[in-house]
Amino acid sequence: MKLLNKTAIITGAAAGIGAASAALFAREGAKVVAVDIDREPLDQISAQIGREGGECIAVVADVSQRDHVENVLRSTMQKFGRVDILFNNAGIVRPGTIEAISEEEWDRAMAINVKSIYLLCRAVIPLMKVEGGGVILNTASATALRAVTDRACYTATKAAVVGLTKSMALDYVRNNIRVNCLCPGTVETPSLTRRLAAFPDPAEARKNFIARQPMGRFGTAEEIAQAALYLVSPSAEFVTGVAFAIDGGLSI
Amino acid sequence: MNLDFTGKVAIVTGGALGIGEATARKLAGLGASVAILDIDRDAGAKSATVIAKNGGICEFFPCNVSVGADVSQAIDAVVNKCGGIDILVSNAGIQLYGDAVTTSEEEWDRLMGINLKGCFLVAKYVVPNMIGRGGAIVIVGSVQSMTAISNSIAYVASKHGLLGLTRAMSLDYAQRGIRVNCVCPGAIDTPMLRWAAGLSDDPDKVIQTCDRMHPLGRVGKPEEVADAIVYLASPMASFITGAALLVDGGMLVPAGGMGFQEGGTGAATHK
Repeated sequence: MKLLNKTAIITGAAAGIGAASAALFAREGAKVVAVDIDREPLDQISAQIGREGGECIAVVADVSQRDHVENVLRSTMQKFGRVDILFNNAGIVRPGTIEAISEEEWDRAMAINVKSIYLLCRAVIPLMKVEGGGVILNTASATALRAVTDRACYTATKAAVVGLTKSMALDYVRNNIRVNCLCPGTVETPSLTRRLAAFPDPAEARKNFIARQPMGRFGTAEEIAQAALYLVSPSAEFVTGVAFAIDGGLSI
Repeated sequence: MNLDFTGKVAIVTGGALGIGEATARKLAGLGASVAILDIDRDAGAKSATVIAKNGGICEFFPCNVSVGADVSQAIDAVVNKCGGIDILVSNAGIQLYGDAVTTSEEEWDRLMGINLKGCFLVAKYVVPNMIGRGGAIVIVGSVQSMTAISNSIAYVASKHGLLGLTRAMSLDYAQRGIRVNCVCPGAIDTPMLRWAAGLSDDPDKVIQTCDRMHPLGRVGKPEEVADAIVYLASPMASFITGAALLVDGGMLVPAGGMGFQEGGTGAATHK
């Protein structure tokens, strides 16, 4: 087991990449703190991990709020007493050009996609320093490497995540804290299903989305979770500050 | 091709000082009607006055780019006064130092508000004025749009975000005659650099260290970045969009940075 006895906080854990990662990390021996704003699916994931013999607690939180983040850390420390892995995966996709996005939508996307990482890292890094190290993984996006149309705000947030990743990787390289980010392409998740459903013709939209995939298919949440596992595991001990594209060739 | 901006209207945010001021001056010198937007009323008005005294067309519009209502009002004022907008130089920005732990939430919000959201807001209100008319947007990023330095978390995140915004907007408006590009300066001798150096006990030594970070052996001048901005805003760059142009004296070329190169193996001097 690659993560035996490691404590891992995973945000956005109620669905998609976060849920798949929570399940995979638990199977690899990690004690998982599953964090999400959406209580019901989060409890289901947590219960499922428990049924499979894994260890998991669910903490409901809006990770863009400082006091919620503090509560995540309190719950984690009470239950497990340490943090080895922080996987900042919570995020939202608001399609649109800059003209279509309101100031409020911009603020919300920035808060959830970028500021949440800052808030969680600010809380976790002092603990990791005391423990002699740790691993942080952030979910960016292939759009941070190559842009697509109609995703201006999303792209700005995800590019900022890459910057944040490199900054922290450098700042804590001597503290034995590795910081990397994933740049997934389009992945088959509930979030994607919701975005497709918003089109007048969801089936047509799905076809168009697939057409732009060099591999001719979407990624799966499990494939992204495997990449996450590699990056947080000791196998990636020499890897820090990278933006790891896992996108079926989208960013080529 | 001669650079002639006669009849063109250019907005320069953060145009009171440094790279923005040099850009406003260059554009005005090439015939553009320039609107300086800045939060600093005294410096903004002064820069506009000096440019006008030297024969340029330049006016100052006070604006806090991080506040939507303020931006909307300032852009409306420019359009009313000048009849439209052809060029946007999105340059307003601040710098602060700190890592994930030492940066306060308030500092984070303020920097992100000015550097990244400010660019979004200005573009949001400028773009509708460019559609049908065409235009060029130049965003001032940084070498830190591509790499990171230590203890600079919010700044690096904001500048990376600006490159993402550049690329996204360049695609969204590619078919509508609006080009969007980004310049990525290294250390430039501006009030911002002097401020940063002033945080140290020995500011001159900081500047010397900055000089040595660039293979060209010196920090850049605001006018040198302004030249790159003017080029990207001009018809000479008509086939360039979504690009990031380094204006960094070669800073990002050497692996491990110049200290690493000068140290031979790099082990002695690499921090």
